[in-house]
Amino acid sequence: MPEVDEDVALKFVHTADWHLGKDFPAFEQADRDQLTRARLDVLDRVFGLAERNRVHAVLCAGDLFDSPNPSKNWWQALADKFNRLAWTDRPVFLLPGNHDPLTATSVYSQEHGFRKALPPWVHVIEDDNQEVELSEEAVLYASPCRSQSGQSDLAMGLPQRQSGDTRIRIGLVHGSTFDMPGYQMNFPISRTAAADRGLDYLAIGDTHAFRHVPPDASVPTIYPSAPEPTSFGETEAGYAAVVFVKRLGRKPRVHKERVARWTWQDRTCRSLPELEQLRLEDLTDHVVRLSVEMSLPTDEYGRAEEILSDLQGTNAKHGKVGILQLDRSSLDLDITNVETAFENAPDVLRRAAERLRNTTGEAAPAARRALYHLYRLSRDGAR
Amino acid sequence: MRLLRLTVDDFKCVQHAELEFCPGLNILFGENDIGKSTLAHAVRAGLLLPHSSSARSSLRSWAGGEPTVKLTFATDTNKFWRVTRNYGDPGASELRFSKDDTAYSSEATARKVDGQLRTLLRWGIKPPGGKGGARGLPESFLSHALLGEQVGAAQLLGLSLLKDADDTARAQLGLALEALAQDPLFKQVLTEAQGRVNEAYTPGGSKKKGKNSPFVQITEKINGLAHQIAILELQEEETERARERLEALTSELTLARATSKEAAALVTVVRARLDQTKAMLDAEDRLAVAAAKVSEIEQAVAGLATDAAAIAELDRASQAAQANDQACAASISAAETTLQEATSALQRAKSQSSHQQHALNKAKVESKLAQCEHRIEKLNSALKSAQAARVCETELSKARERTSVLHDSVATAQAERHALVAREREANENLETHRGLCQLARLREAHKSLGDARSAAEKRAALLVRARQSQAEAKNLRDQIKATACPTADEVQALTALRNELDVALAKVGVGLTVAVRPMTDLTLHVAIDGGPQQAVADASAPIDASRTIALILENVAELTVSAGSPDDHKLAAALQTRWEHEGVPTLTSTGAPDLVALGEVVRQSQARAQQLRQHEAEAASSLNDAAAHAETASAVERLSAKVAEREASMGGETLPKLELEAASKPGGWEDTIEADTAAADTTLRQAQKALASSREKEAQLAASLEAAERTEAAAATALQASTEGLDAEPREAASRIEAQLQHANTDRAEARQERDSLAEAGLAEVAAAHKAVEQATTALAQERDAGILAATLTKNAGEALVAARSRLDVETGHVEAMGLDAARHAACELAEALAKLPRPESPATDAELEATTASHVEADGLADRLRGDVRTAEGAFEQVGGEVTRDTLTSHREARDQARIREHEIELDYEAYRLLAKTLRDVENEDGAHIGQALGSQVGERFKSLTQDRYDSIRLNAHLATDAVQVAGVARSFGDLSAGTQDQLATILRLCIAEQLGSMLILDDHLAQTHRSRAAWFHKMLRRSADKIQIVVLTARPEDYLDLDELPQGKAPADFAGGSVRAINLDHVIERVASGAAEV
Repeated sequence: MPEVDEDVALKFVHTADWHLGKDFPAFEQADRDQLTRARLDVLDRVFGLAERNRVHAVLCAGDLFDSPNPSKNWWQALADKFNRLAWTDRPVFLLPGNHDPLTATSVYSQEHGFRKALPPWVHVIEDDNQEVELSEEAVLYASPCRSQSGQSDLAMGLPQRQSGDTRIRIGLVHGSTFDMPGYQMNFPISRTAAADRGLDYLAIGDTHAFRHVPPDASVPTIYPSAPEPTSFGETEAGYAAVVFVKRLGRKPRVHKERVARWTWQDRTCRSLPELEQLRLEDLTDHVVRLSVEMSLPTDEYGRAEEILSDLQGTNAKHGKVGILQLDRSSLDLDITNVETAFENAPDVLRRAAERLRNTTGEAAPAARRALYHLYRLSRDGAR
Repeated sequence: MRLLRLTVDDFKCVQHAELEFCPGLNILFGENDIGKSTLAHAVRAGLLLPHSSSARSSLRSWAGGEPTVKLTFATDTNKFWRVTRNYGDPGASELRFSKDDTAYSSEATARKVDGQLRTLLRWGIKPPGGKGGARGLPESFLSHALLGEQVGAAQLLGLSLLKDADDTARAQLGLALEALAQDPLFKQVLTEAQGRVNEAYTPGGSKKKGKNSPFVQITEKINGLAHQIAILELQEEETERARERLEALTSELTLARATSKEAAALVTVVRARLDQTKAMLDAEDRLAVAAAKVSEIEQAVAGLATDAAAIAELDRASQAAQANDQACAASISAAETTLQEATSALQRAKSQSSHQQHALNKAKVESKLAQCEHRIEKLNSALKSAQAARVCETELSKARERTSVLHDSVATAQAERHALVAREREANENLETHRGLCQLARLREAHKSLGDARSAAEKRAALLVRARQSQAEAKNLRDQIKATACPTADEVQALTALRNELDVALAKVGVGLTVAVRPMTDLTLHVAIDGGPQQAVADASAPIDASRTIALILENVAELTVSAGSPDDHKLAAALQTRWEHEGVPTLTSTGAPDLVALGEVVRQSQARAQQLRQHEAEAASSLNDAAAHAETASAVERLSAKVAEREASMGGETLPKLELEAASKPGGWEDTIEADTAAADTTLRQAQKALASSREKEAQLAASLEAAERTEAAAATALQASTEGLDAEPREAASRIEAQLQHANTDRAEARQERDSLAEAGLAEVAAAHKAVEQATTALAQERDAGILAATLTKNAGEALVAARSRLDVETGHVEAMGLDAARHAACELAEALAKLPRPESPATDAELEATTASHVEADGLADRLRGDVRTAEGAFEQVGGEVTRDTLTSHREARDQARIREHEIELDYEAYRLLAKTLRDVENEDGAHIGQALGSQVGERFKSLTQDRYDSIRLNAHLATDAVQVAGVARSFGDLSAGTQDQLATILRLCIAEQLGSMLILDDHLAQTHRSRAAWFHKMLRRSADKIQIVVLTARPEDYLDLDELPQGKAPADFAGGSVRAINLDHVIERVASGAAEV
């Protein structure tokens, strides 16, 4: 619900880690394209959030592109999105992060086509400790990343609040807070930087999960997460933050808003009923890494194959899972009573099945798979 | 496939021929020897014989000229091919292609023509090139079946697909005949499986390498990812190196800053100690000065007391002088009285007696005066001695004070030196301990290196042993393999095929025979059955049965041998038996295998041994490599042992345990800091030594001063002793007393002189004496008056001296008071108190120590500055590396690679499964008799049965299409049992069936020449029916066997019938033969 409190002096959307142009090499090409494209599509929902809440500004805290020199496809598409918005009174601030640092030749350099394609209300943070007046009573301080690695604490570099300065002060930097692995080399951010610098809110980016750092801080320091998850195991990803800063020095309110389309899940099925149950779930907008670990007799194996095909889809039919990464290396055929499956088959097929069943040694796995194919093809042919 | 046109020039006996074929039955007829077979030969050459083949010489034109064949054929409705061959020298080939039989484009030339043609035909003939290719016209089962020569038409029955160079014919036939397979489900399954196999494997069974191959696609993906991962890993390593360098430098910088800070603190401490030391010394100096001042004032006060005593003396003297003056006044008065009396007496005494009394009195006074003079002289001398003694006493006192002060300073310096000596000893011991620990650390490090080296040496030795074992086992296996002389799997397969052929051949000659002998006379009969031993025939009337041969020996008459089967079968069996004897038996003998099954087992064992051999060789190589990797480390054992021994020797036997104890008491990781600690201990020792040297110097100076002071004191004491000799009291007291005595003596002398002078006058006359007395009285009066004047002068002088002394005393007292003894004492007390309150340094510091400490601080600061620069450089380098971005990308690429590997495994397993399935299905099918043989045998059998009007039940073809047997009345017979004509007919039916199944054209070159007209009529119909499906080219000298009389062409032009499906061509009008004369040439 949009914030209606009249005491609110400043409203803004805080987002980060779009990673436009990111590739997903672990997926098949069609899925890769879909996932890469989703990173651009989700921005419509982020910008929609800004419009619904009538925010004063949108702060984008770095890693907006996956590399400092993305292909034109991505920067042109982003510029087109901005140009379609026509927000003349709602500035957008783009902060270079460690994935897309500000360099002489990067996408943020002034000579780059991206900069030229941006509307005037979209600003790139290109100065250290850049100060931007958001309103008469609010000011933004921001510092860009200029390399992919760095040890300097950009937040602690922001200017301190001077005595008598009663404006709302918002910080915007990109980096890892001290509790993150490898923070020393990835633009470390002190957990107390917001308070030390006299900020009312510190908008940061890098981690793909929505986090308050630390949760009980007097001044909110927030990772808004990546608007679309980028990998399995990323919990709390897929959000943007809508921030309401009130007058009289009260602590800002932060609304965590879901914007992602895709939910990434790791699933393991160890029995046919589990697999059947999975098939009943609505997994249309899910990226599922499914590991099938079971040994089934021929008929159940066939059923499992049908379900997997149903989940994965074919060239002619969408699967029930939006994007499926299937590991079936532990799906095995139980050949204990396989001969019963060929009781009514022609003699030549029965004998072939028997021979495959008795195959041992290195060829045994292929023989079991061949046995299943023989079963399936015989069954399909007999229908 | 069907033929369209054929043009032949200068080809054997044909100078020129040009003809066009219809799609159905083409009857090419002509007289014998007109060149019909040459045309068939030209077609075979055009399709199969490379222009460079050595067999081209057999094609040479009888009239000279270069043999040329141009053959046009179609493989589909829109695929037309034209092959042109020139068999001259060097010759040429070209294959052209067209979609409409009008516009042709070159498709291939030279050897590529043959490669492409054989691929098109799929007749089981390999493309040219490679080893083992047959010379001459390439042959295969299908080339014989479809283009067979006239001579040996029935030879096809003895052939099979087994000898084909590749499997293309089998595959083509298999595919064509699968439609006739017995079980449609089997066919469907096989088709599916084979379809999947074809996606991934070549017909030869290799993995496809084209871009559409699923293996290639996944492998390329994995390789691409691996390449990117390798790059990313390099970047990650670079990041890690940069990070480690930065961390190390930052750590060093932190340490250097701490060291600098410590050095600064130490400087502060030393400076404070130095300030304290200096403050103490200064305070001590000031206290000494104050004490000296107090002493000086006290001496001045003492001097004042002396002066006061002198004043008192002067006062007494003055009083004495006043008394004397008064006495002089009284004396004057008395003298005046005396003078009056003398004057009176003069007047009275002018007598002798008085004069004598006066001389006696004068001698007494002279003696008294002399005594006074002597006494005064003696007292003056004693007074001088006493005064000198007083000076000496003062000097001695000063000297003693000085000596005492110096004694104290020396004692302080000695205490300081003792403290510094202890400190230096402690620092020295500390340094020695640190040095010992350094050595211990180095020794431990050397021990560790030695341990590593020994471990490496042991590993290397173990690896070498393992390598030698593996080499020995490999050698053993190699010897076994060499000793076994085992054939290869291909050779075994070839032997198996040979054995099968031999078994079939033996079966053909082993159809069974029975001989019945009816002797006309008495005969002794012996018989040898199937090559067995001779045995006597007991019952000559009983029939003799055998499988292959019966040898009847009619003693002294004849020996009859009866064999079953045709001569060709015998020849074939004999030839195969010979081959078997030459090829199979030696192999079995050499390997010790009783049969081919056992041989197969031997081969498998040999392959297993070869596999083991490779494993052992690989293990040996791996062990040797690993050993080589340890060699360098291991080689250092001796050097390191010597190093350890040297270190241990240098440390001594007793030192080591102490150091171990010392090391045990230290916290863990002391070895890392021991070098720095030792350097610090060394610095401390040097500082202590400097301080000690400074202290010793100071002590020496003080000792020298003390010695000089003691000498001065001794000299003063000696002088004092010398000056006090003869004094019976203290010099001051003695001097005072002497001065008093001297004064008394002077008084006595003056009295004595006065008395003498009085007496001198008294000796003369009484008158004179009186006169003299008068004169004396006058003189005495004058003297008295002079004495009075003198006394007054003395009194005045004494008074003045007293006043002056008092004035001096006042001045000096003023001075002393001005010097302020109390203030000086107070100041000295305050200084002493201040000195007592001053903080005492733990140990005295020196400027040298401060200088050394400051230098250390400057050095530490310099190091910190340098490190700060290095850190900035490292930070710059760090910003150039990929950092977390690289790590993220690397993680995603590794996940992708793992996924791709899973996928690769899945693909390989799946396609391997399909391949195994297809193979298993075929194996099972082939073992059952194979659908090819069954399907074709069924067709052939039916037609043959129809041809022979049910004389033969069926034909049995094996899996390789070899004609196994002809079923006659339920009994299997070899086709060799058939007549030559029937064999030709059977072979022709087989050809027809094969061509029909393949949809291929068929050339029959007078293959039915020995066929009876009744059966020829059957073929007439059969060929016409078949011509609806395939193209048949019949070359015959008997056109009436194939054409109705009204179908024989009358003119030169070919005649077409049956809607164009039958064409008759009179070759007399088509073939231009080489002129007979040329032929003879």
